[in-house]
Amino acid sequence: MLQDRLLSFRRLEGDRVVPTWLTSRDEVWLRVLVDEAEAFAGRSADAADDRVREAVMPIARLHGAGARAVLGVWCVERRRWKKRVASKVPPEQIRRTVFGLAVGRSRPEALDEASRQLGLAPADIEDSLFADREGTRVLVPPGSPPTPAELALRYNLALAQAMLMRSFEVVAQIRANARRAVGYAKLHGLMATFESHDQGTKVTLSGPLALFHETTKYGRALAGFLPALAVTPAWSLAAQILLGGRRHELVLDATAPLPRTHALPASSDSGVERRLAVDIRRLASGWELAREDTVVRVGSRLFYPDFTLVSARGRVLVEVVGYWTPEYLANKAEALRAVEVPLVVCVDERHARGDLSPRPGILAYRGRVDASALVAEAERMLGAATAASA
Amino acid sequence: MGGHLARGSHAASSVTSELTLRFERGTLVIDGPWGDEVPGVLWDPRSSSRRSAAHRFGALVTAASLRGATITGDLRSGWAPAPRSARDLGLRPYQSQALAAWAAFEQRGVIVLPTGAGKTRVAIAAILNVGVPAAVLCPTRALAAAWKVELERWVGAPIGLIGDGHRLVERVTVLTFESAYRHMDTLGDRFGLIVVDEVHHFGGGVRAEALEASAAIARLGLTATAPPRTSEAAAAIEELVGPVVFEMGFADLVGTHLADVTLTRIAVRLEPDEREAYERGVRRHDELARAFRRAYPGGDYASLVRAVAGTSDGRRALRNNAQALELAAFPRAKRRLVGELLSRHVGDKSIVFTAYAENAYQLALDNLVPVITGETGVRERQYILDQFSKGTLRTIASARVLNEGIDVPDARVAIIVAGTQGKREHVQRIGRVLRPAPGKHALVYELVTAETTDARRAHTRGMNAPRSSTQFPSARG
Repeated sequence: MLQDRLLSFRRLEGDRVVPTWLTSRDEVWLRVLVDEAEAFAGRSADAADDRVREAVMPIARLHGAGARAVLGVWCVERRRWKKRVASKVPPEQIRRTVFGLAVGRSRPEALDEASRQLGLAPADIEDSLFADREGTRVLVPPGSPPTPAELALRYNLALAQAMLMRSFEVVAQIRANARRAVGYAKLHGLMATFESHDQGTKVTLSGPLALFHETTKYGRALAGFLPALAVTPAWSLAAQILLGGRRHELVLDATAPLPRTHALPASSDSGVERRLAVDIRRLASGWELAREDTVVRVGSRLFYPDFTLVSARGRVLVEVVGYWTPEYLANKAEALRAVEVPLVVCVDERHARGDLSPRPGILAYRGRVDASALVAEAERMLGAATAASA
Repeated sequence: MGGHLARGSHAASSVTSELTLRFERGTLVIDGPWGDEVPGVLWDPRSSSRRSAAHRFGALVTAASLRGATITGDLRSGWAPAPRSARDLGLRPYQSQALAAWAAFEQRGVIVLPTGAGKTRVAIAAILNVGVPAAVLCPTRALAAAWKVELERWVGAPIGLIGDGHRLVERVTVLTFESAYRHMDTLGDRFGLIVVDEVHHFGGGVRAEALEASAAIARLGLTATAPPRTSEAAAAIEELVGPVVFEMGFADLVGTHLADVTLTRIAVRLEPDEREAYERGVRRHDELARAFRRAYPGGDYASLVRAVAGTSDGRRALRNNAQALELAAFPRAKRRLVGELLSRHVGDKSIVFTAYAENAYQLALDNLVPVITGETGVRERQYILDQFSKGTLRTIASARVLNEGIDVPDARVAIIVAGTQGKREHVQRIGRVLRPAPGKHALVYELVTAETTDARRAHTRGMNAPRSSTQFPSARG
């Protein structure tokens, strides 16, 4: 995470902003930073920071990079380093001894006595007294130094994510893997809506409380979406972010120099789904749970069912709803009737509201979806569809 | 129109007036034939449902009872009350009055009591009396640990803690503001009462989500310094917690329920080289500030900073000015003076407050006294406070960490080296030495650098702050 004061961005027309990326133009001063860092092993964190300011900043400035970028890169790189406390005796022990002895003694007397008790020279005691503070700890380098190009990519991702951390709504355009976005949103408690258009899918992500006011509470989750998005082809993103209390629009797209090696987030397998897959296999009824991505288009909106039941006779979509209201269900049912897709909605009866009389396409469950009842309902749906089209 | 209203009121008496609620991630999903007229209920196109932030639950319950409507999914069914007497706490009369005032305001409101007057006791009494599952929110991890200890003592049951690596929910659970901000959206349906310590932090709208995501109907805010009644901050706190229901200041308590106190302001001068560096540091900033005020009479400091930060000259001026202020907050004369004061009060328990953590470390090294800052670990902090409590350690240096909190043991002397946070910080620091003890007379020394911004800050923060309760002849300066 980069702090506010290290964010480096450019303002476009209106309130739009884009991050100031590091590119191959910056490799000269990044090389200087990498070279300087070779001498940081064994130095204190504060001393290393000072050296970055003195030695790297002036060269970066010659190449058009400001102090924020230099400190930001060093902040990202320093996370890979470890720190150790350079003191023979743990500083906390030294403090207990010295401060205890100093009550009722003069300073030199207290240091002399502490020196005897701890086996350290009085000067060492003063040096080690606070050797465990973050800035006085000594740096230990990571296994291998980075190349300037790696440094730039890592920094760019950190910068984009730090800006997204301040977002309250993200609108992304994706051409593939929209389903992963659904899984991601569900996993992180975000709300997602989807619209399809010629070039792909528009996904809008925000948190429940965002309905009431601009909130950056979900920024962490929204920022976490970026690495997965950046590996998809021809993506773009517009995020509403708050910078210095004011609203801006952050715009990013596939031309951004971001790392593309990130793994996609795993889709969130629910326990209900896993158990159901096993139960259906045990029935040996000829039906199976399919894992391929199914998308249903309802007008311009898209609908991603939880999974699909497949047999030689056809396909039936299955949606498992833990919580629901009659209104929600009516909306969903109406939308899907419009496209005439066979669908079974499984509702948790503990959270069922209002009229629960059996209706076509609705199956109540308690804790575990009854596989045989689901298969029977699927058969019935297909039968009804066949009858209707006949 | 009249016919429509008549149908509406008819519906209110039938089963169709039922409202169903579901807690979802810090919000309530609302289903039923009415609800839109309750403030804060909106249609959410993302889920095709009505939705409100969870803290509107109380308002929804009230609206439902006015209509005689039943609520399905009523969160209160998970908050079965088990009220208990708070007699063992031995509340002082004004503490009982505060509690009664809060109860009279339907258990929603803020109690304002000075540091040392026992706000914690009032809150614990409220938790026992109301008897529903409760969350206690406080600003820091240090405070959360202290609350947990105090609650364990009086509640007599395991106390939950969320934050600082712990994630344990119990019937009474302590959360830091940060952990409440992160986790209340998943826990917000579990608590019927929330206690918000140092509630003034929520005046600025920062992390308000911590309170919005909780459905608790009973809400108690605690502070030593409530924002002015007509301010935006007061309105924000009233919306999320409630109005100020009880207020008592230092003047009401000093000498009776709080110790007598003498405040001594000591002026120091910059040495010639420091004076030169100071003047050099502030010069450009002051020029820019004068130009800004000519152009925008009445413009506040935040807009000045925004205007100035646009140029590299302006940014440099701000940076140099900040360095000059740091210098004025801790010149050599103050550093020496702290040493003198500490040796004068070698037998007294003293707390030294600095504006910056670095200054606290410097004083710790100079005088070989323990220091507590944000960097100090939990174990060491507790060790220092315990030893201080016992009297085996008699001085603590600190920047801001000890400004507020329930866990700081009693002290007799406060040395205020400098402050950056204004009046509130000043009041809280003085409060640290006001806990009463037989025959106790507390001393507060405030060190001020003459003819600098440090002196102006001291003047501003001193307004409305506690005064000496008796005249004491030892002032120098």
